[in-house]
Amino acid sequence: MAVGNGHNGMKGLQLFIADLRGSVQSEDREKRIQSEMVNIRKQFEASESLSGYQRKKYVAKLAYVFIATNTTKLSDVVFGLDQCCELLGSNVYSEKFIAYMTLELLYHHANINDSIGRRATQQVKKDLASTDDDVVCLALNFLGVVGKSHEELTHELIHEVFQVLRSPTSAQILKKKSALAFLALLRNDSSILTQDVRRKHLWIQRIISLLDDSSNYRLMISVLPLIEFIAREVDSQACVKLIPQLSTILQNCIFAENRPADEFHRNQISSGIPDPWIVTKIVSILNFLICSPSSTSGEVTFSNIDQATLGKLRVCVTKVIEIGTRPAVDVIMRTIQNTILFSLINFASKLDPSVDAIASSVNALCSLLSSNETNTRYLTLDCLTKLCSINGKGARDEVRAYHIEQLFQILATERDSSIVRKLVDLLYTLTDVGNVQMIVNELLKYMTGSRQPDHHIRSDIAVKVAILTEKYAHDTNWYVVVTLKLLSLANASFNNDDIWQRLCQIVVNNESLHQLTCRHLVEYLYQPNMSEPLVKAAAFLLGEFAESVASEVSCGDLFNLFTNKYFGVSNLCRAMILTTMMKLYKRDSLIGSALIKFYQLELNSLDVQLQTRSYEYLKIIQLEKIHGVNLSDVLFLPMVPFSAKKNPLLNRLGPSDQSVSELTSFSSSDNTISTVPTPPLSRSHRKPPASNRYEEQTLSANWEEAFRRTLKHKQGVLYTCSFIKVLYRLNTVSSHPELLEVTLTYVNTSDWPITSLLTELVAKKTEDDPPYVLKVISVPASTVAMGERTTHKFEILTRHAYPLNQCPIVNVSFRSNGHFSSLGLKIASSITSTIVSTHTDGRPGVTLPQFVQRWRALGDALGKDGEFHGSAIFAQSNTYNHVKSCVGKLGFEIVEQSMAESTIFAAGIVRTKVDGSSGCLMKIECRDSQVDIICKTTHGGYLSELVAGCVLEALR
Amino acid sequence: MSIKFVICLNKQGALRLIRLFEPFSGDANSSQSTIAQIYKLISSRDHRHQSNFVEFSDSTKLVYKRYAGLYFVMGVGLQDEELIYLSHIHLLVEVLDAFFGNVCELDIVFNFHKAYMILDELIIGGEIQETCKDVILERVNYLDRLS
Repeated sequence: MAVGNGHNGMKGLQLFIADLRGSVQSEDREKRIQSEMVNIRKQFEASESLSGYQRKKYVAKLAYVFIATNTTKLSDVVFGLDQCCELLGSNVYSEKFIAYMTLELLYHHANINDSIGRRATQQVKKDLASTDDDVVCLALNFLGVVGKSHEELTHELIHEVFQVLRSPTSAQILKKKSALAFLALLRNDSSILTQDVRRKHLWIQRIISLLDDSSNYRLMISVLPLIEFIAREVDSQACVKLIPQLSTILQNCIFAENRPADEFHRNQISSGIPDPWIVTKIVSILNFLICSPSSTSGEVTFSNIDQATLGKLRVCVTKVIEIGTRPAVDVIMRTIQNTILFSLINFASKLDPSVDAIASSVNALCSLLSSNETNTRYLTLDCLTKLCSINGKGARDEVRAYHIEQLFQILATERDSSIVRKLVDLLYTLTDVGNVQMIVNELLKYMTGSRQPDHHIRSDIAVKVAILTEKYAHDTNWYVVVTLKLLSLANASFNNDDIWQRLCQIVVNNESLHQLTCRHLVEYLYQPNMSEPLVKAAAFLLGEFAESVASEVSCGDLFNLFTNKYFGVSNLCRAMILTTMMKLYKRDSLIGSALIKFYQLELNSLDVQLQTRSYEYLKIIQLEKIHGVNLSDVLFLPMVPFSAKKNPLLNRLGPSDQSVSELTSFSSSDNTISTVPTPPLSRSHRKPPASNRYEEQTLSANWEEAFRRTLKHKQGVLYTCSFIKVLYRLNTVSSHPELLEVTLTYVNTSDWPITSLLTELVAKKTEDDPPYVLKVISVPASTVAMGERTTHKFEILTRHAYPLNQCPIVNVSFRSNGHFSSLGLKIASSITSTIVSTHTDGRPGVTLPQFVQRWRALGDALGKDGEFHGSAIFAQSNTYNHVKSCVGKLGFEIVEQSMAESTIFAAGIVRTKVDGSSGCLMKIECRDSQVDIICKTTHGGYLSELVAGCVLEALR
Repeated sequence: MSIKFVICLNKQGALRLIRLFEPFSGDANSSQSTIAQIYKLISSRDHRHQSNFVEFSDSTKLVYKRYAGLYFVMGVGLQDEELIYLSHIHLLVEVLDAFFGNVCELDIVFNFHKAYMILDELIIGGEIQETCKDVILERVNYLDRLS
């Protein structure tokens, strides 16, 4: 042993351990433990005279006993908890360590917390405040281990832990440990953040800024899990703006081999292989934040991400496929290569991959299927299944076309049942109308094969085959044959009734199947060994529809067949047969005497249910014979169709499986449902985005002034303070006036670099017919050196007109000289920014007579409904000129006229994506400081009101 | 989303290390039966022909690997990606190996407290804290010298 009894060692402990190992007989061992317990008790009772070293030694012995007895002696060691707490207060590191270690072992067990929780919490609090970093580390370790399951720890200590995390003077090791201890406490109870919006905002900002230090990837490993938790459970919106930054880190990590000086390079396990821990964590966060392309609920999909970021992510996927398919040095390297490969391929489907990209993913994976490592095959199948279900058609078609034989080959040869399960999942996902027969046949072949698959797999395959045959069958005969075959295989390997019951439902509901199914069932009945589910199906269906096969087999024959089966089946099945016999009797009273004998025999049955049933049926026959009442016609009415549309088997797949579409009744023979399986519910617990998010935004002081500026001027200053200046430029293209391109330039005007510059756009509504849609073109750099600038571009597409108070908000947060700042600014993407000039080639677009004529025409057509009257008072010296210049800046054409004094006639055309163009005419009368507007638009009064609103706002 | 527990068992099923980041599901005081079930499950698996992953309960799957006479087992969520945890285990074993110098079961038996010390520098709160072997070794050697 290289490490033995340094000054840290405990000789007594070592001897005790050696003694226990020496005891061959378990009684000796038990005796040795008991005598030591007695000794420790005695020592602890006289605790005043106990030295720290001795206390440590005894507590360590208790810990050892707990472990060495596979935790069975918990109740025997708890007497030492008080002394353990005593030891926790020691100033000697190794003593404190043993105390924490022992508590960490025992703390999850019930009652421990009740007895010493208070004391331990107080000591942890004290240690967190210690000036000795090693002591703080011990306390943080402790919280990391037990914090997740003890609520009071969260309430008592989370502030202290956060102080360690945020303090700029904390050593790196403290930051790392505090990030994870904080996470453990937060997992226990995240209400500390969710219930206080201000704190949530501040704390999350601090935590996010820990990612900034791009020269320090050590810290990142501990911070990423915390950010992932915040994204998933606390505030995903706050993390969306991290997508560009995370993508950059991911790219740096994956391409680290090209830059040997990089910190990532040092982190690399071997040259050319990126750090799998950082890659998987980042991909996991991105995978959560970015929704699949089919998402419709207004969340982030690839289309909301700027092109540069999307490009980075796509490049990462390509690179990783290249790395992942390289030959590996050894098993460990292979594991790491695969980790990265699977992680990125699973994510790739979110990035709107091209057909070629999908094909190369599929090919890379399928090449791994022939690996001789079980892990690789297992995970490759898992990854393929995910790819096929999320990515939909592309990947499925690729696998179907080129790799399905390979999958069947694996099914035929694979020995590991967990791999077979994955394979069955994959085949299930791949099934469609075209290949259902082939896949089902292969699965049935596997079930009947020489290798005896275990119970779980048989049951799993049976359920899946039943669903697939029902869902994709285009030939009813085939459906019946396969389902019956499936039931016939089911010798006790799956004791569920769902499959045969489902068959019965479908047959009852589809008259065309009655005769066909009954014929097959009769054939099975003639065979000596018939599985019980099949007997049940036969008992029910032949009881109902014996007539359909009356020409081939008589009721008497059926009666005999069932009698033969009767004694080989369970009581439940027997009870069903008793009823079937009664139904047969109803059709053909010739079997009466045999039946009566049979029932009389069953009166002696040990089973009370069978006894009762036989007795009752006998009575019915008697009553009918003696009194001539026809009871059986009333009691055994034909089966009415089932109403359950949903296949109950689907429930058995569990919520994590991709669901197949709900079953519709088997009415048509060309039943082809080709729904795409929905993606796994990876985001199922995501909380819907808060609907009042827009209202929650805090806007910077003086935002209104800048807002009005953006209404009137195409460029200017949006914000300025001692750290930063934000300039804006608004552009529209005349062919698409409804599309406003916004360029923001952030200029660092301070004497320090700006870091953590993150931006976010908040729309009033993102779903349910939103008035406008925001799209980021490029994001600013996250770091801006002194005097430098960075640009931020996005587009606002106006779908339909909306009031000014719904304009989009730009949130900017950054850090400068240790200060965190956040800005909230509104951009006036008003209806007036979509004005198309009516000028053509320098000639005025609207002449006075035209204006007057249109004004009248609008009035005639829409009356008062198309008009809006508004007025306002301004303290302006020259109102007329002010209004004239304002209206001109907004983009309206001023119609020169001398008809009405102090009145401005203005015209313009506004355009939105949904409603198209709309003509807009205004008469603005200026009297002293009062302005009266009459606005008419071809789209009616609401639009008129909005346009007038913009003009009045611009005048203020 | 994170590691639920780390367990080290020998070939006979005797517990060598246990670190719970959340209590075992079920009766918290019967962890020995959970440990016995884990042992039964993984020891029955064919290590040449079966994967290092196996579902354990409705909420947990095991990622495990045998090194000589010791099983290292991590319990993770069903949705977690398995492979990275195999790298966790390997890293832990490498650090133990470097720290003890060709580690064997006895090292962990007699110095279980040091094994815990190493674990604390590797995994906290169910998440990996440090991935660079040299950094971890430097740290644990420093802690080992503290009195």
